[in-house]
Amino acid sequence: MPQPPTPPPPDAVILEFQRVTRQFGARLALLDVSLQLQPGVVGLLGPNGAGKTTFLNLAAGLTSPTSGEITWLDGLPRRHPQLDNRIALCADGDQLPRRETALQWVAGLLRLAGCTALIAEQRAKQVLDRVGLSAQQDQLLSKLSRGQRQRVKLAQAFALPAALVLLDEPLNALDPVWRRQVAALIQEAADAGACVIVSSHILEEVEQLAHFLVLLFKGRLVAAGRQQDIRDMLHNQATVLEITCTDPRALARELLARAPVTLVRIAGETLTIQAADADSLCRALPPAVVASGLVPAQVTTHGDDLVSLFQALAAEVR
Amino acid sequence: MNGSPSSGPPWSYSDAVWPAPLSNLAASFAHFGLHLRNLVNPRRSWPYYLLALLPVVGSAGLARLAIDDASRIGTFFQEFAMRALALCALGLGVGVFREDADSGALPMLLLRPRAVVALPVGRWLAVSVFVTVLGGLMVVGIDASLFGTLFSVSSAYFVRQVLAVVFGAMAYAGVFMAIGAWFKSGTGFGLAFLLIVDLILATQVESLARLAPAHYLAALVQTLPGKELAAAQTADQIPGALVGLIGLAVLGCVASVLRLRMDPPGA
Repeated sequence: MPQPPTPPPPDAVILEFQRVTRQFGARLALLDVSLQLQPGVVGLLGPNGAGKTTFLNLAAGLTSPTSGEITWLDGLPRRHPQLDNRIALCADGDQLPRRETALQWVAGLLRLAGCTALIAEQRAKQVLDRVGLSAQQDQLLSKLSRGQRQRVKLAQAFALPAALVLLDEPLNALDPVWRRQVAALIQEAADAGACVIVSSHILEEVEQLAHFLVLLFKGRLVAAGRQQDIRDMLHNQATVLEITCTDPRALARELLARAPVTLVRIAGETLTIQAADADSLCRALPPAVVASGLVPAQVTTHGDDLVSLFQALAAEVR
Repeated sequence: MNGSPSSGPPWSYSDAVWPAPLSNLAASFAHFGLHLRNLVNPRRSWPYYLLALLPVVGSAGLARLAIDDASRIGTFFQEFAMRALALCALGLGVGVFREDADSGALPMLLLRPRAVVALPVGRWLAVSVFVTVLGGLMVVGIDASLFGTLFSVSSAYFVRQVLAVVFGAMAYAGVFMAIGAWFKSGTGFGLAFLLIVDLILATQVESLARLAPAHYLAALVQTLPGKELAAAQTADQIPGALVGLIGLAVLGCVASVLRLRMDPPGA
């Protein structure tokens, strides 16, 4: 048996997209995406239809770009022998082969990776134990719950120490306890030198995990950078509050005195107010309410969520 | 047995015995073994076991009627038994990738080294072997049910039957695997292939006949029992028919590999 390959150095480029475009017929799934990813946990964010799964399939080398180039591990092409078993994927979809047991399926994949039957079974048992399924390892996959099947998929992705681990919505169907456990598993892989890409359409889901975020919107890369930079963008974008109260004019006066308000609109008992950044408006609201002596019946916010950020960034890109 | 404890030391991400990737041949056999294990499962394949039984029941019925016309036997075997064989290959062939594509497992399978070539080749072989076994049982069942009533199956005719089953299974498995890889509604396209290309065009349009397994199978089993040497189709046609069937199987495998390389279903 050969020795496991040495983990990539922290500054290694595990995955590089160079002006990658992917079309399906007339539909553009990904447009002119260029980025480099290094070891660590990367959050791949975007609303439904943003191109996350296409990005992951391209990163896995399952599909080829329509134009542009993708390289792995400091410039290797996809079919290079050094990439054998170095890319792992936990695909989307909550079904798995119905007539196989969890152990049969994971061990089968390990055998296809080149493990002997004995080692494949031993490693499969270990990794299923790690995801809390040792008691269910001999059950048919069709009999497992959705969350358990998700953990089986994760088990096969972490069964061998890959350099690039691609996880498509890995936290779907998991309860809070197992979300934490899977987060620990992801961190362990990243600590071992892997680049773990976690896709999600919920920022909060990956913010605990990822040090680096990639934001896609309608197939375009709208931002890529450290998590703090992305969060700053989110806080700095315009935020709109809609407040329903008996005297919206009085409340508007108080807010104007306390926050960098850029827009005020009053319609009946509803005050619509926009500020340059979310934090200052939210900080100003409680003292303004106290000073006006009003009790707001309803407060809703617009513009401080991820979709709004995507739209704002996409408008800039446009 | 549920809940058997894991063996060996606890899991660690980086502490794994690193496998040497399989060769294309070894990977093909690994895929072959895993897929064949699935195919023989009666809970999955019971419709095909039943389908293979139908021609046997039909031939037993012929024997009971004691129709003294050997040509009906040849026609029966070709038109009914070979169609049953083709239908088995259709159901199993188009499902080679579809089930894994629908379940989301195909992308994870394709990331194993050599899988893009080994997966279709290994699974094609598994379907071919399984359909051959079903077809073999069918041939033996038909011949046994007719034995001693209408004719004595000559060894030459039996060999032709076996060749038709083995190479027919290979060709149909390859063709239908490719159809299943390229078309989401592979069963519909497969049935259309059987009805339009294999049944009608193969006999009406000479240039398209080469795409139809039935064209080559006719050269093997159309010859009537006991009259094969005197029939129009002579033994000279056998090598050409076998090459044609192998060619269709290879074509199907190549088309499937191309599909998996370009844009795998379900990815």
